[in-house]
Amino acid sequence: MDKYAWYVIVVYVVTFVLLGAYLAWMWLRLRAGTRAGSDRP
Amino acid sequence: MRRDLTTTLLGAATLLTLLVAAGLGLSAPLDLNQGSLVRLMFVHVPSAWLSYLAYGGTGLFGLLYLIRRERRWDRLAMSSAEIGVLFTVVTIVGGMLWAKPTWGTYWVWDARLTTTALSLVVYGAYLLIRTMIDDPERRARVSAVVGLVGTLYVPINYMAVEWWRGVHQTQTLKLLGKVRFDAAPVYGWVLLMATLAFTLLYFYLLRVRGILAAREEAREELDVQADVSTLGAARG
Repeated sequence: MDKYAWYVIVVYVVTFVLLGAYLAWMWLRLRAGTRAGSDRP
Repeated sequence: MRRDLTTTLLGAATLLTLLVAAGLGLSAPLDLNQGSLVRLMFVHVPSAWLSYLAYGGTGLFGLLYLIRRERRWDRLAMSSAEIGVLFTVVTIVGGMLWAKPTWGTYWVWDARLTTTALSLVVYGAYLLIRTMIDDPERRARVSAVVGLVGTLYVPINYMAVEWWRGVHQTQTLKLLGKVRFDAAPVYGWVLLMATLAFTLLYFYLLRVRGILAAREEAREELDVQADVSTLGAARG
């Protein structure tokens, strides 16, 4: 590690946080859709 | 939620390859000139590759929609565009954080950077247009054309560093003419692993987003049918 290490860490963290957020958003919408489907008469 | 074995297996393979790629990327030897900044490339380059793949997918699925007129191609085109936008943002963030210590600035209006930023405008408009058209068939048709034209971005962005020389370095991996890789072989192997991981990630995200889009579309159609039958019953 050297003086640039923080730049590297920030890029890896931002990438995986954005990816995680997108997956979480899709998962929440899939779950909401399943609930709405089961509530349908 | 129903369990889907293909999605689960694809997700597991994606996660495994991503972890291996991240491990290799973070432990790759330091570069003589760039130091640890070279490790940033193992996210930046595969992200750019994924966005190319996604925009290519948007064009291809749009074309398939225009030929076959099946809505699933439109759903895949939209899903692909969304993934492309997300990974263009990742590419830009990675590029900016590499540029600051290397070029001394986060951003310059270099041809590669400018065309990358323009892709956000093109595909942002693609996604915006979709929200503005209610008729599903017309929405699919218009966005297929926009997506097809937008695919021109991929070769233009790839070649921008050759056609309009700026501060961005030329391609490390030259695909046109004699194929050449202008970096140490160890970086080539790490990049290969990371590119494989991001390719799997694209297919995984596309599959999940496609499933979500299909379910939402089915639900919207049920809602429309329910509205029509309620209206019919009210008219008596």
